[in-house]
Amino acid sequence: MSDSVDEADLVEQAKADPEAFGLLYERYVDRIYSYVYYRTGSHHDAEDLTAQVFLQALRNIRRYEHRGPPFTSWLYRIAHNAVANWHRDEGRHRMVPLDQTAELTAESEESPYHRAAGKEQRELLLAAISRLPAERQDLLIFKFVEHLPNAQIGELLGRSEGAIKSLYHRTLLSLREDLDGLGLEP
Amino acid sequence: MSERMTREAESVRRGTVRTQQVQGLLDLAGELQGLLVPVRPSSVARLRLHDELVAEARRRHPGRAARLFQQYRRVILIVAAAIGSLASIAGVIVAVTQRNRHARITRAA
Repeated sequence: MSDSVDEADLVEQAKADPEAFGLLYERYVDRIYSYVYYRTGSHHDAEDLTAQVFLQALRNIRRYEHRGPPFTSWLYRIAHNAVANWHRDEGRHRMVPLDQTAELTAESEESPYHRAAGKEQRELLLAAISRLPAERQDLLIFKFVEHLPNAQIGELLGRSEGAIKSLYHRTLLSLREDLDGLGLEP
Repeated sequence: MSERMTREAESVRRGTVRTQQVQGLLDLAGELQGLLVPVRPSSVARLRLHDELVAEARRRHPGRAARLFQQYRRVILIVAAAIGSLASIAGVIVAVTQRNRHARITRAA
């Protein structure tokens, strides 16, 4: 079985075939891990929560029906709930510490920003993101990390495509104001 | 005349402020694009979780042979019991035949 296998077919196979579920995992683990990592700020917690997400997906995959939205939407919804429970249970609302952003640089794809920008500026920007409401953090992660189209982001956040564009604009404005308040230049 | 020039200057100023705001947001979007990049789990964690998931999936969804066994378990057990019984009967028959043959040979001798 290769990556070219249609998603819907692979999901159907995964309902009965452990190896096919393994392929689904391989296909989507990085995306779920990225989402969870940026919402928790910790590689350790991201590993635990990613495991929870896929175990829950395994338990419920027989009930999943492919009705149009991509399979990832279903996985993101599980991940979103897992992260929400994590924040609620632990009473945590963690900012991403600087050492973890350094880790992030080491494990992430190379980007000109990481080479050019200072650690302090990155830390301030990540801290400002972590102060945003959860829905806005999700929006930024889906948009910039996952590169999802507005329509799918809207489907995930339960809003229309137009509402997502508006929310994105307001999110940038509030981030800009927050950073301006800290004296951080663009 | 001077009032009109004041209005135009104000309009230009507002336009400049608006342009700066838009540029500021575009710059911020660029920063976010550079900062929020995909991250991956370590290869060890990734492999461990893969193995755990496949093991759990196997536990939940046994393989084809195991599924067939579960499905036809009753029939398989009955057939196996019948084969066992037949083998026992055949064994007893063979043993009795052997003993009789041995007894005949002994009597003839």
